[in-house]
Amino acid sequence: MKTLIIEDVQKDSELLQLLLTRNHPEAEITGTARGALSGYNLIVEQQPDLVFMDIEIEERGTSFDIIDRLLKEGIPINFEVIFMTAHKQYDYTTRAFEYAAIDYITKPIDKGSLARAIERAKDSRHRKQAAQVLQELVNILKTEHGKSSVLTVPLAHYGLRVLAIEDIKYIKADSVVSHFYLRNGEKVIAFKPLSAYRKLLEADHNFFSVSQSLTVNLDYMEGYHHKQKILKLKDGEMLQASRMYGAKLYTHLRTNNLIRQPSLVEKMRQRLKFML
Amino acid sequence: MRTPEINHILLSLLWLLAFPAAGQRYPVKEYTVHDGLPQMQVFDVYEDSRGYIWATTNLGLARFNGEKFENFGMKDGLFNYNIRHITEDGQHNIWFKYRTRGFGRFDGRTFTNILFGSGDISEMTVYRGNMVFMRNDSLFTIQNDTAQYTGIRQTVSEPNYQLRTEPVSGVLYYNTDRFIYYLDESLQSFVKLDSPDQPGVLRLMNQGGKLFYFNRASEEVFLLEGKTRRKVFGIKNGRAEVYSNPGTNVLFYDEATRHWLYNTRTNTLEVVWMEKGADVVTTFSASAGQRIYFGTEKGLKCVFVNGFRYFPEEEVPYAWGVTEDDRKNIWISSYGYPLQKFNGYKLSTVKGYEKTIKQVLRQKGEKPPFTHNNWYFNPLKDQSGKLWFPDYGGALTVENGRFDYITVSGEGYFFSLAEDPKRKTVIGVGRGGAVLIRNGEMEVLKDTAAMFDKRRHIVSVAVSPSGDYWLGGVGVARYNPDTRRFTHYTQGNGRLPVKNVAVLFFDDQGGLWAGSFREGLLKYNEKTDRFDRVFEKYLQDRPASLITQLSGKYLLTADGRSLLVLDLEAWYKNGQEKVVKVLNQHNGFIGMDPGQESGFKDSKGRIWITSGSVLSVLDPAYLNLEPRLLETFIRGINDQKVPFAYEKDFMPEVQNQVRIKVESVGEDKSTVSEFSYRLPGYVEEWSDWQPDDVLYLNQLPSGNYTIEVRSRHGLDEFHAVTRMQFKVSVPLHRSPVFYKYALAAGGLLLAFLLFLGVNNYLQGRRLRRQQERSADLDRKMKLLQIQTAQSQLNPHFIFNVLQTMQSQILAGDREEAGENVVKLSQLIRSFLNASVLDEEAPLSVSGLEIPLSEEVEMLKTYIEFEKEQKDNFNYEIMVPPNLSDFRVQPLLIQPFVENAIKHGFQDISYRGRLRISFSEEDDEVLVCTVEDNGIGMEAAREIQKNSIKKYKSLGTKVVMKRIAGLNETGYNISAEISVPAGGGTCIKLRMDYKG
Repeated sequence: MKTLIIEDVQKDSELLQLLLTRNHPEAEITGTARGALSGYNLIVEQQPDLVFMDIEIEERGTSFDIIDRLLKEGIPINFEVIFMTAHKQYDYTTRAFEYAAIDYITKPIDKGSLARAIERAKDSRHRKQAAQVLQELVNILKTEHGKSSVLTVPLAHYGLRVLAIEDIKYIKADSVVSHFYLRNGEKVIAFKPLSAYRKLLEADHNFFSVSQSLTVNLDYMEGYHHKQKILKLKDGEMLQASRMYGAKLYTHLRTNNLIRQPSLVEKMRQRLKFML
Repeated sequence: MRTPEINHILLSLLWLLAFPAAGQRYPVKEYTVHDGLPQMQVFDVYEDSRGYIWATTNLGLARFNGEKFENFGMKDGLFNYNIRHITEDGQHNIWFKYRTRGFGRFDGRTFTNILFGSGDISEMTVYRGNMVFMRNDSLFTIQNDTAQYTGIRQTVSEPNYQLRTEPVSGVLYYNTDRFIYYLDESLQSFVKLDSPDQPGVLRLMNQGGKLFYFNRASEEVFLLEGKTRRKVFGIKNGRAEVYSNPGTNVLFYDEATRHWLYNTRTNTLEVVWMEKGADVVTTFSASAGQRIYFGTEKGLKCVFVNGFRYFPEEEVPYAWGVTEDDRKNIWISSYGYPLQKFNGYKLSTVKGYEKTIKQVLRQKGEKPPFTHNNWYFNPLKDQSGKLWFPDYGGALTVENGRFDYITVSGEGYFFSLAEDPKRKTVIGVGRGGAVLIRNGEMEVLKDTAAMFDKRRHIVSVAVSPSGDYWLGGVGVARYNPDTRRFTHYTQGNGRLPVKNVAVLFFDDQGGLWAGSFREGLLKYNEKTDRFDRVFEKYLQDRPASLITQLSGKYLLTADGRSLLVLDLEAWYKNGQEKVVKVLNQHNGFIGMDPGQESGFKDSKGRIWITSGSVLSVLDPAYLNLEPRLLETFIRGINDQKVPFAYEKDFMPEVQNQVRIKVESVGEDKSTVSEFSYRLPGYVEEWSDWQPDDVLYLNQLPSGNYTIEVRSRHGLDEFHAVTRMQFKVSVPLHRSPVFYKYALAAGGLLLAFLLFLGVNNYLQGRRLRRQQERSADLDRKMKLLQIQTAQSQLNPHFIFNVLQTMQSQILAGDREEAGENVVKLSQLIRSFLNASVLDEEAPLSVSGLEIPLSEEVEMLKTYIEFEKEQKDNFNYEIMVPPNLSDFRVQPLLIQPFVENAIKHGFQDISYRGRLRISFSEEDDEVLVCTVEDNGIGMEAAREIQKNSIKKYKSLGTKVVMKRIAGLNETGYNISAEISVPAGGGTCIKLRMDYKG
């Protein structure tokens, strides 16, 4: 398995080489690069099976620029990319990974993560998806603030599904998988726990968790009955909120003026309607 | 028809024949188009059961209520304008016949026309409850507005003219203008009653509740009684002859255009009106009673048969004085006209007195007057039968046909006269003085009082029953002939409320009444010895120009326009001021400016009333002084007419601007009617009297009303009341309460706006508070972040780990050390991630939450580190798979775990066991149990106390603080510490949320 390492910090690169040589001899390191341009040339030249990429690299760019260029120039991507990042900050890049369902490892690299990444890279099915996944990633990174309008979810038996976020009505957690309920009534089972999406969607989109196992796209919300903790969707579906999240939702809706307390006028109008 | 010439000759002849004997005439009031009549030719007159006078003309129908005409034409629903006979049915609807074509019926509101295509149609009458008429040769009845043949027909075909029912017996009469028939019901055929030789001479007429017919050929009037006839009057050569009294006043006209009035009380027949040179209308009938309306070619007339007669001005031009001689001849002195004598039939001029006056004056060496006949007031007949006629210069006396003239040189003491019968003295009053004449001797009375001023006149004199002489002029003077002293009553001394007195009159109770020139009637009060004004409200600013007694009960006075009959009895009884009747041109008294001081009562009890125009005679016996109730009627509401029977089953609907037209109907209307009304249930008080015949009721709220209207006439106290229901439905904006509603609505609006304002304000305040609260929350959260970090990044722990790694590196266990570096880095990353919020993530407490799986991972890492340092325990973490994704506040459990390891397992001689388990309680309440079998809290604390090492774990203290902070932001986290059965410590952390 031809493996390339694109890493600008020499020590880190050496550590990774050490770890790979010691624990994963099947990953044959055929080249290393320190910058975007050299990395690109290396990939084009070697046509590797696996590329470790640090995100921040030398020569005016990031490893994303390499991917972008490869995609633009139509160079086939038949390799698995393992992104590495030193800080697991919740920033736009990591969010982009999550949108695009891309795994990454953090530095300092621990053996377990590395082993899982190598394992995935060995699977040829993953490699086949690589181009698609990376294309998504680049798309997301190009959007402003990295707010993607699509979400790539891994399906239960490999394969990916790109979902338009606006189509998602709500997501239900079912231990390690999540059920996506879509506008058209379809249900997609993603092979990731709800927690993988919750924070992302709540931060970038109008999603809100109404219970530990239910995150709802509030764009679909028709109304919320706080006393009964029932959320009514525009298509008439009713969802049960939990006590705690219901209270949070209620606070959220009220602070953001997303829910209006029926004003006196409305109450009167309703009363009038009743009377008439 | 006669030729016009003959007609004219005859007419003038008859005119001359008809009137001279009369002398005095019946008063006739005339109504023409000037008064509102639609047209001058009145064909028929009918007085209906309500008292309305209906007249038919060539321009439609007229209704007269005694004051005003209301006319009905084609716009009101008449088929055409040519209407003739008129009558009333049992339901009091008015029926009339069109000249051709059929009939019309009027219920007060709508006209219904019952028309026929062709045929010779007679006049209609009510027979056995139905309206009947002849069409060609058949008798028809009108039922439900359609004609039905009765099966009765006339065998000989003649032009149809009249059908009439004899009111007493109900026999139906049929007049073909040539024959009169009656209907014999048993034979079902008409029987001939009269058959003059020539056609067009017979006329049936209803009068005073009886049926008559006039035969023009024989000039005879017959009364029809049942199936028989009785001749009542005849006219021979223009003179009337009464054969028998029919028991009612009758007015009819002969073909010579004379209207004859038969007076049933005097049993006389007189011409009351004559058409002068005109073709007479072809039909005629009249109402009867104290006034009889009749139609002529020249309008509607009304003759009054109520005791008044008059001499026209051509005959008696300007009567100022009337007296009567012993032979019951009435002597009349008209100012500027020779003396006249009336013997009851004929007026004649008195002759020869002028010569006497000239002689007397010449004897006295005085200048004869410039003109003669300047007669003054109150001529009298003294006890000896001598007549006295005062004039400008003196008084003419007439005794046994001999004239004499009495005068006081240069003095005009004969303006008015009175006699003192006890002392056989005649008193004359006049310019600047008075004179007493007794047995031809004259005594002049003089005084210094104002009334004796030469420039003034003493204008009246009366002798009291006790024999005092009362003089009236500028003030009143009372002269006692025995003491020869005057007592004065003037405005100056306060005993007379007016300045001038024109009339003085003693009633038969001895009471003295005085009439002022323009300040009404006065009564002398003996107790206070002064004059008081009486009947003030009736005679305000009016003269009392005549005072005389009508009878024992009534006093007659005049206010310059009308005669007023005062209830003397009531006045003496309890001082009640009551006017019983007002008489003027509207009800028979046609004199203008009545009185002129004189109201002479003759030997027959008739009162002769002079005036500024004609001389009237009133026979009180004929004057009906019984108060008569006027009928009050509602004529219309807004622009709707109301049916006659509006009192029942009629409920017009109107808006709230209600105009109700009213009128009063009745015989005796001398002044304008006045009306007042009330709305029982709403307004119980009667309104003020108003002369306007439209009642305006504005601003009535919606609802059903009954209006009651009453009317009065001539100040009478008797009021007929009528009532009508109506319904008001008000459009909101015209509702009288609209302003209230509008105000209320405005108020509500204002309140609403105010509410909105307040609401807005409150909402703003709430928002501000929310912001404040969220700012507060921010602060709290930052604090929490710090607390989180602080609680975890225990430097001691880190140093311990670093120390461990150092020893591992030194021991050559580089790989192990490398792993530990990675673990430590992960732990630190977790701590940091848990405590530092992402800059871009929304700021919320729940933003800090992490999945339980991560928390557990962190715990594991931590415990592994601790085990690296001191491996004297085993641990297990139990997370049910469905909870792995549960979101929790990070690092809440770690301090308790740290406690268990650091303190619980500190000095144990056995292998410790740490057990961390998670479970879910009811609604998403996560319960975490940290259980150890260490030395227990108390022991740990004891050791801690005595330990020199003084390991200071900030952990639990800080975490409790943090829990308190979280609880402030909506969480409800509680930690419960217990000691399990086997010793050690059990911490139960319950993570709930306030919901």
